[in-house]
Amino acid sequence: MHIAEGVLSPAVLGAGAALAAAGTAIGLRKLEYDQLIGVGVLSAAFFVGSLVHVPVGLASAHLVLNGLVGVLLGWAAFPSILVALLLQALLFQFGGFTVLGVNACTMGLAGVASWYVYRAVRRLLPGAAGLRAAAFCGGALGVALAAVLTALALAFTDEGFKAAAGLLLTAHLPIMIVEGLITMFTVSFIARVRPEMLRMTRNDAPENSRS
Amino acid sequence: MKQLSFFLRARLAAILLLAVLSLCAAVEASAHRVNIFAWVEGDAVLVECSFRRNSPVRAGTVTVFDAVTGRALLEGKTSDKGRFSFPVPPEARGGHGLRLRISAGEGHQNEWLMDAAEFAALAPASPARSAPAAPATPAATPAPAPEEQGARRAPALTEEEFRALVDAALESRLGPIRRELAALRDDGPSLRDVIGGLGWIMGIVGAGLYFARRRP
Repeated sequence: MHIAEGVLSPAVLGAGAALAAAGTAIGLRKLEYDQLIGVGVLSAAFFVGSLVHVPVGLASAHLVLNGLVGVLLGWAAFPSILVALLLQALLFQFGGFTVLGVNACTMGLAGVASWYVYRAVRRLLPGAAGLRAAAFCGGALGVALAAVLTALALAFTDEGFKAAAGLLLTAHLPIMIVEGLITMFTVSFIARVRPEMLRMTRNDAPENSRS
Repeated sequence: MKQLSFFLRARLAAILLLAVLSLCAAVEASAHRVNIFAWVEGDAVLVECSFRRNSPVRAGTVTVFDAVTGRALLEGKTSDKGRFSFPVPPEARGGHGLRLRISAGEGHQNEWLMDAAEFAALAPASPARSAPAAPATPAATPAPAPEEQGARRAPALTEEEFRALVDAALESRLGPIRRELAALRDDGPSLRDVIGGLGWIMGIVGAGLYFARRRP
């Protein structure tokens, strides 16, 4: 899902960088002191997750975990993902410096969107089952949206949006299910051992989302 | 503080699990990155592209550029084994390096530079034929040479010429191996990279906590 150096045009790179800067600024403003460690831990999970390949389906793709980060952090997912992507570019040579903004946008925006979906589903279906369903949707949707946004970034290359979206979505179908399950288990685990964390993001959300 | 440690412990358990999983994956040298590797073999350039050691790039587009002028010289698709070969272009014989780019789709792209020196053995037009043929023939050619061609040309190879031939032959044989070693060495993230990255994240969180606390 990481776009490599030299694929995109300067216009797309610039737009990505600007959007990523805006997203990170919003994320940092909404970031609360108590969330900081969570942001770091999830950043670490995202950083390491890219090394875990899921050898199911047509192509073996790796975990993205942006849905999980988004569901647990909301807008704070943006800085969390940005840091992890920066380190992946530096240490693993995944992606690259100039494409950092675009990659942060595709995964960060998808993560934030999956947080909104997670909250909406939670509100519709209260209770433990609803929580699980919401978390699964959030986790799976994060990957799907990241694939669509990556294809969108590639739309202006000679590959084209349709071909890229088709390839990315089919390659990441198993990943969506796996990440849906990971998010589901993680969220229900946190709901058991430390429910304040989930409640915090949920109560915090309505005022923030309307600002 | 007690809450914090409880929360941390829960999360750390999950992270540890992930880390262990990832280490298994890292041994396989996984990478979400496309590797390209090219060498000269005889009169042709062979290109090999892979995502990981055992997953070649099928039908990826290889574009060959002149490294000096930046002009695209030719283009082709990789085979099922991730390979593509093309004859050494005249620009490379003329002392220009080549830049090879693999576009594997979905935003995967990488480049490989071939220095002009790699084509040095083929540089002028006429020795271009003799240099690659040399390794197979030395035993055959010197034998008839003194008798038949002795009158027409220089009798046999001088020591210097012979050394140059052997050097060229060795270089063409060992080049790919050396290159392959280099490619294997940076095949994927190592354990050190993973731990280093986690350390960086911890450090950033620590700095964030410090500064957030100082702000009332």
